Amino acid sequence: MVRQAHHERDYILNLGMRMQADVTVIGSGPAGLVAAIEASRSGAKDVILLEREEELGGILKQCIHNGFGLEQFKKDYTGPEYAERLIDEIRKTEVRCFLNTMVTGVSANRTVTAVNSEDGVFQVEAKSVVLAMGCRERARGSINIPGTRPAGVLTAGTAQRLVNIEGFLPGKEVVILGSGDIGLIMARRLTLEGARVRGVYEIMNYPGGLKRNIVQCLNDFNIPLYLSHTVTEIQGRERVEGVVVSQVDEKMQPIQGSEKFLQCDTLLLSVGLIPENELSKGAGVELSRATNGPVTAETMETSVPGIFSCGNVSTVFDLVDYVAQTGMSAGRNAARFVAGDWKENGGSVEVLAGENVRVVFPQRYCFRDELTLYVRPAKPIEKPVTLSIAPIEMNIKRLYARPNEMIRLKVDRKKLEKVTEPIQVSIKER
Amino acid sequence: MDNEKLAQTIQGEIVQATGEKVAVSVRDGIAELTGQAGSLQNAVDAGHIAAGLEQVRQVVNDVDYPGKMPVVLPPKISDELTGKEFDVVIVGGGVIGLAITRELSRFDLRIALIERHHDLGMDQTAHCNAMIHPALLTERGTLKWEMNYKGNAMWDEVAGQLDVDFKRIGTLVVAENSDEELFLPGVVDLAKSQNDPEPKVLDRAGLDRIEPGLAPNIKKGVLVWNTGVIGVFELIIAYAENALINGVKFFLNTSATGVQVEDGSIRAVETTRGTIKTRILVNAAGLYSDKIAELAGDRFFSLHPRKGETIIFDKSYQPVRTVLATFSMVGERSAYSKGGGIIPTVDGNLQFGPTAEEVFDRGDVATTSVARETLFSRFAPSLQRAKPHYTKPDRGTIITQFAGCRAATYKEDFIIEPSKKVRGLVHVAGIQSPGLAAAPAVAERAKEIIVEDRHPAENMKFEPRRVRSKHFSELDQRERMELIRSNPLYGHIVCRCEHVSEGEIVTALHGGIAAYSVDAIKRRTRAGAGRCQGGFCMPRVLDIISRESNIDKQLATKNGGKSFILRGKVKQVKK
Repeated sequence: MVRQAHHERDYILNLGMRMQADVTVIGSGPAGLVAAIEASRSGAKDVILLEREEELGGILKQCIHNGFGLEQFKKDYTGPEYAERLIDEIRKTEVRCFLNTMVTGVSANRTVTAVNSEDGVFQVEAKSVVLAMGCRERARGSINIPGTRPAGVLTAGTAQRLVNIEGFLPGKEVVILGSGDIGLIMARRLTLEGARVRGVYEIMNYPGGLKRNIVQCLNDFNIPLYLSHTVTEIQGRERVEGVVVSQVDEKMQPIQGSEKFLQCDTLLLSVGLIPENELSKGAGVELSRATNGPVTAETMETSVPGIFSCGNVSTVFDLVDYVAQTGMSAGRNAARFVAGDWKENGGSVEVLAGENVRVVFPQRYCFRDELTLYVRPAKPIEKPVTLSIAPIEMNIKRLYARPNEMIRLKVDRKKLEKVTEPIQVSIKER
Repeated sequence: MDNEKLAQTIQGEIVQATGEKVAVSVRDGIAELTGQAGSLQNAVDAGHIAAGLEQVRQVVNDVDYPGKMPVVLPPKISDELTGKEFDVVIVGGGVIGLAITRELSRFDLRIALIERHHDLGMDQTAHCNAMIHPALLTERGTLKWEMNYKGNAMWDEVAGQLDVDFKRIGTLVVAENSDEELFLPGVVDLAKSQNDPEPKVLDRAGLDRIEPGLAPNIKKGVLVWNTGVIGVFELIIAYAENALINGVKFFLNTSATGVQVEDGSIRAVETTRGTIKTRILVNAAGLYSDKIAELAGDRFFSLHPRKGETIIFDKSYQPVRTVLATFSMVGERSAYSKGGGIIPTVDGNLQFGPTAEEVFDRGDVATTSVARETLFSRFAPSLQRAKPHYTKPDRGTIITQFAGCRAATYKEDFIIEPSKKVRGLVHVAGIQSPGLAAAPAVAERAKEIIVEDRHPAENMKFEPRRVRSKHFSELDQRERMELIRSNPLYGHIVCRCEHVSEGEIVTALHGGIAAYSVDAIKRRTRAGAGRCQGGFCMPRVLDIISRESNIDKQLATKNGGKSFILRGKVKQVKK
């Protein structure tokens, strides 16, 4: 079990509920764990990690499938194994972890207010803050499915928790709306547990999740995937009794006459993830409309000096390796910031999404660190494409571009030295 | 006109309007319609036509039509309540039944309330817009109108004593051009004629104070200041908790299935959990009040459920402070409803609604995409025009949509009267919008009827006040600290979106009206009412329900009945 900062408690309760730190990390999913470890390793003295749940690891705890840490550790871990590996590492550092501790506010001057049962309400004044709150799932309300409101409508992630952590089945006859990765993984998981998954229905004309999950979670189990389909009605008074699915046209509007009733007791939603930035807003951090996360520099610094963000709170990544990499950068740079190693330099340039690019991350380049770009294509192009970065004339050839596969590329720092105008990433058919 | 002639007139009018030939008989001012109609709408129209005649006091509409759904009584569950005896039993735990418990507990009476759902206020009350209407749009001379203007004026005291959020935000009628400005004195006259307190005529400076950011072409408006909004879920609990303090007994999950009448007087009410003796029965059964009247052998009106749907926008989108009305919106009112509107909730969320549609099923709470689109296209342009500088309404900001049915009589008026056939039976029926605004006055009228008949002694120990339980999110840091020191469970935040602590959930579970479902917890604490809609906290709330009420997690429900959330365990390893 991770050590709690007991000696700090009397101090908090008796002396004004305030403590100081070099770096405060909010959230202990993969991004937060890696950031805290890296900040500590990079020389930050007091690193405090605040976690609202009773254990470290965030969503990794319920991701019992494999595929974690392939790049970072050259191992194929399950989520809990991967988390355990990071927890083992954090134990070797001086990072102090507060569990069952909910952060209720972050201010622009880097004061974090938190609450738990033992210490009550307390504040941590830090020289630097790392936001690593992750993301939440889009729920029924935000996609407005008409019909009744029975039991049996839940998000794929909630179902994942019920099955993998608590050992309960949320349903026996399941329809899945949306082909996000968690939905695909739950299609397989529920099938293995004896439920009948009637199909995955995706409103877009391409899948939302990774190719490997389509193959391993659906195809291998003969679960059909219906593209350009959506659920247009939920029926059932107390428990879901069925849903109506409809085909949609190119404007994503249901096509009259295509309605089909499917009997089921459960509707799982896997319709997207939204970075969880309520705390960031409170701190005055500028958010990007494209990502719903903070506008971030290559150092992972947000628009507020000394506040960094990493992982899915910044933008929703496909792979834990990407999340970990941003966590590493945020932790290292938070420590640099604390050490005063943050000399003013040549300002910054914007990084923009150009043609056929929905998201490019980070959104700013400040000439302080290596630039690793994460690019999400706007639409599927099943032909050879060129990904080009202006104005440095970097062109990368790829066989295709797909929104469900984020492209990561490192940009040579030397090439960027003389850049004065915005960096723009675009994808063109060859 | 004698009864036969009247019946013929009604029949003729129905044939003319709908083409339906239905049989009509009239006795004691009650028109009874039987026969067959081709559609629900025609059958409802027939009822309205009969009710349109002045000599017709009420309409019993038994006209059959394709798809008609009879009210089916639920089966008996137990006999646990048999042997219990009260002076008054109130059937129905909506806001009306609850308000009546409060008024009657001012007297030395043994009072019980039975409610068919697992929680209170689950039908009309939970599905209303939480608005305290002015009497402006209610037809003068009706009982509905009288209850509306009297009830509206009573809310400051009731909400204050019950510790419920209540704000008089006002209805703002704005003129978008100089032609419309000419109508403003008419609005003032209308409000005055409806007994609303004299409204304020505002110039631009006045408008800016009340509703900043209006379009430059809006130069004048009228503020009907007595329009209010209220925290309706808190209100339900507040009424119930206050009633508990004053000795009222509540029986949830209990449906009335029969009424025993002896020598023309109420003797007992039969329920799914046994027979309760009583001398006074208050029929506050909302959407089923005609059924209760029938069970008591006093069938003199029929209800026809009229569904209303409302869309709600995210908390982050709060474009209006008042109930905002333009003249173009007023023009779109339908025959039997006030037409819905642009209405903020007490928490600031924007609502568009409700719609009005006659439906087959009184329990119809299903939302439709048609209604969503209707509401959006009816109100979004008006709002955008009135507040052009504010972010324009966007379908993507809609966070939820809800629906519920109004308990409409064919007279479209309230019924608050002692039974003409059965002594001790009091009907408080046909209460629909603006029933919430009217509730305190309706309850007072019901009380007067009972007091006049029975002359009960006053309850010297009546406690008018109730204090709400503490909500972590509403406290300042020091109060939070003190609360956590007194009970560490308040330091454990379960719902991250609304900052609801475990302490609040445990308190709700052990409250007077114990909430044993995830939605009941949501209504009491807001856990699960935020951005993620319970995605994060629902499994944790399930844990707490299971632990605190000592039931297997698999028996915990989303919203009572058989709405079980879990469907079994995962595969187990054989030992």
